[in-house]
Amino acid sequence: MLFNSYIFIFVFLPIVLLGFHFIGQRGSHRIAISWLIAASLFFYGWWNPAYLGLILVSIIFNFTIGGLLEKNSSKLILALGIIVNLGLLGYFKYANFFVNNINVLTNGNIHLEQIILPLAISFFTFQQITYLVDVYYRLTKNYDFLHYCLFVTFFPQLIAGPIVHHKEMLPQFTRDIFGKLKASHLAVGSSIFILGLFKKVVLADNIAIHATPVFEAAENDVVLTMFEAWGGALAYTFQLYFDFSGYSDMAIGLARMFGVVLPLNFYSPYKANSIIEFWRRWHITLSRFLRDYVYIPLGGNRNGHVHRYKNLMITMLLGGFWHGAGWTFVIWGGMHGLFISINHAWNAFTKRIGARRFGAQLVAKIFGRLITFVAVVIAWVMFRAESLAGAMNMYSGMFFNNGKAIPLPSWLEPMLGDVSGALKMLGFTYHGMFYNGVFGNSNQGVIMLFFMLLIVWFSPNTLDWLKDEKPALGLDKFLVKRERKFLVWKANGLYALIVAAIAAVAIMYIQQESEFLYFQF
Amino acid sequence: MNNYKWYLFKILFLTSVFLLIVASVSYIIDPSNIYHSSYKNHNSPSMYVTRLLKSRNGLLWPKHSWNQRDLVSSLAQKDVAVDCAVIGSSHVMQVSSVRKNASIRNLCSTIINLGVSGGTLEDYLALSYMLSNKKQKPGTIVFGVDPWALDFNKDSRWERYRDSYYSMKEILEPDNINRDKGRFTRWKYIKNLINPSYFLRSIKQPERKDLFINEAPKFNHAVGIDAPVFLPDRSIIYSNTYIADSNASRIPVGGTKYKIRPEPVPNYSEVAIALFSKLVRKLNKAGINTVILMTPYHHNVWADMNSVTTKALLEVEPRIRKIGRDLGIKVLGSYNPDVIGCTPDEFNDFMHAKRFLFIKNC
Repeated sequence: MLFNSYIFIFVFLPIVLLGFHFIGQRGSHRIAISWLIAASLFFYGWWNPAYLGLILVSIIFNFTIGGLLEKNSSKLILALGIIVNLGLLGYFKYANFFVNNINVLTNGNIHLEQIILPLAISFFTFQQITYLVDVYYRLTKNYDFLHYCLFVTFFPQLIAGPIVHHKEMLPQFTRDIFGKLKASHLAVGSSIFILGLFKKVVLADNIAIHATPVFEAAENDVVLTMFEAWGGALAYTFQLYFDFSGYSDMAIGLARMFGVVLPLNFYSPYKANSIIEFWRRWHITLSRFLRDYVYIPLGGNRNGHVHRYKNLMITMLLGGFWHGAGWTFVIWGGMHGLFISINHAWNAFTKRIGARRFGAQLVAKIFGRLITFVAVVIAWVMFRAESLAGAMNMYSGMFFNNGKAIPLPSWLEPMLGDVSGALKMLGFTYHGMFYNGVFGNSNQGVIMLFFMLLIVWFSPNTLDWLKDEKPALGLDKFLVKRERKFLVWKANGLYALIVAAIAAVAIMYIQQESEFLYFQF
Repeated sequence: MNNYKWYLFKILFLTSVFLLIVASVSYIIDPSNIYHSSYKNHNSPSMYVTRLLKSRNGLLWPKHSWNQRDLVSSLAQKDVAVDCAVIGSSHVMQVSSVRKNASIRNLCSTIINLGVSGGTLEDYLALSYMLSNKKQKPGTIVFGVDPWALDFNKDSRWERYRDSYYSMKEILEPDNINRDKGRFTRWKYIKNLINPSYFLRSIKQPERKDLFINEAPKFNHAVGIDAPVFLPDRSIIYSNTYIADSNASRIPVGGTKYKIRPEPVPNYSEVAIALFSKLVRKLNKAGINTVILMTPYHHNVWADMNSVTTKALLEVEPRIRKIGRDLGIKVLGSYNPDVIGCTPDEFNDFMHAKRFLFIKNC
């Protein structure tokens, strides 16, 4: 069951909300929690009931290990917990990858059936590892099993994050008022959910039709023009943005309907002026996990620049590998590790020479966003490509290697007269910018890319719009001090009209359900 | 009621109103005649078909006209004596017996063409049911089988004649009638009322002025005229602009993924093949010959042997040939243009061969 499906929106969600309200009204806090757990497990089991057992065993195992650690902070017990969690993740997510690579390296023939990745395993595994580590360091309270169960399974965040921390969630579940629906929560939550739904079904799914054929063509060795390759790369850049942003909004909105505030996971990342800032805005809860549980334990920046770059690279390589069992993901992580290292080196360099005094910060702000955006787009190509060869074909198109000619539209040739011949001699061709026909309706695609760029660079995001309602944990540090009076959500008729119009359009576009890209991770 | 409650009420109310307006516009204008079985003006698909069969040069086929399946079901039920009836998708809509150098003349000297956009297994059953229940049955039914056709629900438009489909299915599999299918299809009808594409088509077509039946002038079939034309056997001649545009357009290497599924999901269903086999046996038993026709994909599609489309073609064609062998019926044509010896200029696009090709097919 997907958030962007009629059955979820018109059947599952209303039933769960009504049941929660009905039970909560009678003051049955624990029964309300049990209801939510049952609903979440039903939601999870909808895909493949066989994996319900897996998540339940994982919960029981981790809660038991947590209990043992509370009594005895033993490194051995902690190691056992982490090894079992990573072993489970390793088996389901990486076993085929390792076997294939061993076969390639040793010319062997080890056979392993294709293992189907259980949904959300990367997310609930990480959540539970953080819990175990924090129990070991005595950073947790004594939670009971029901609350812990809801912490792992709570359906708004179960499938694709945010990767919630027990400190953020469990205190909210244990409050007495949890279990009672409030109109304010429903109003705020439903508005955020509707905006997220719109981003997913109208923006992400419609730009996807310009991205997917280009990447498929690259996998099939089609010689892409520069415009097709950049068009496809940009289309995917926006598809992923609106898909993930939409999902994150929907998760936050759904949780809010039940009175739960989730941590911020996505905050206009393409507005970042540097790669370091990008990672403070993109998949914030994953970045936080990698920082707190990988980068800092590795030593962070404590032992000088070289160690810092090494630790950054290791962290980002692991981050890439977390996204998928493939070399393209590892390389993508490595590219970002390199970008971040360069960014830190640049910062250190400008600080040392005192360049900041001479207006370098202003220059960095002006060009930083553009450079960051281009770097991110280039890296997304590796992230999206199904193989290294496919990625290389995309890069070949993007960086003028396909015939070393810049394709120009065919209608330009007669208009240029004699200049046309001279340009031809210089290697220009007139086959048309979208020669292979894989970018779809090119005019429509280009217009969509332009408007999407305006949206991601200049428009306020959903959470900015609802900032007065404190929609997400950790949002405060992003909000600018300058108070903006306009475009701030209020529960009034005008905004009801706007949100209703957006809801109607979004509901119309749910004709074919499409999965969120982050479900595969 | 506090502000938030009012706000929630307004959202629910306004969203419902917006959707109701959209659904009403789609329902009332109904550009594909999905919801209105009776036509508003004096013309009708049945009248169109009657005039078509009597016409000299064929009839114009205006852009926004009757539902194609209404037309073919009228045609399938008309008592007209022909050698062959052709059933399939748009891939076979140019198969003709009245054009110069007519296609499949070796097989049939007269045909009726019942090809429809997105035609698939369900269309085979529904139209075969109509054909086998009339007095003057065709001697042969030619099934144009596309790579996606031997599966269920690859297109929803067959629901236009769902009663005929279920009647034939009940004959073929009396113990296996799943009436729940009806619920699923009704849900699709309801969902379509708020389909953005259908709504946009509706508002772009406030009046259907061009539903009048107009005879086509005598014209050059290779060039076409301003509007598409159905020839008297209901084979189609596309408009002159479509023909010119398709001649000039470039065909992408590897083709486009139309109704094709990537590996490892098969592009056919053995359950569907079993049903199709029962249909063929039933028709043969009733004295109607059956033939399978595969129409080719453009050379550019085959230039990339790793494309999703090519892999599907390579997967499905041997299976279709095996069906032919198992049932003892003729299999004509191929998805591979080199097998039947046609040239790249004999295509409208990556998967639609021009009518010239069908001569070679048969």
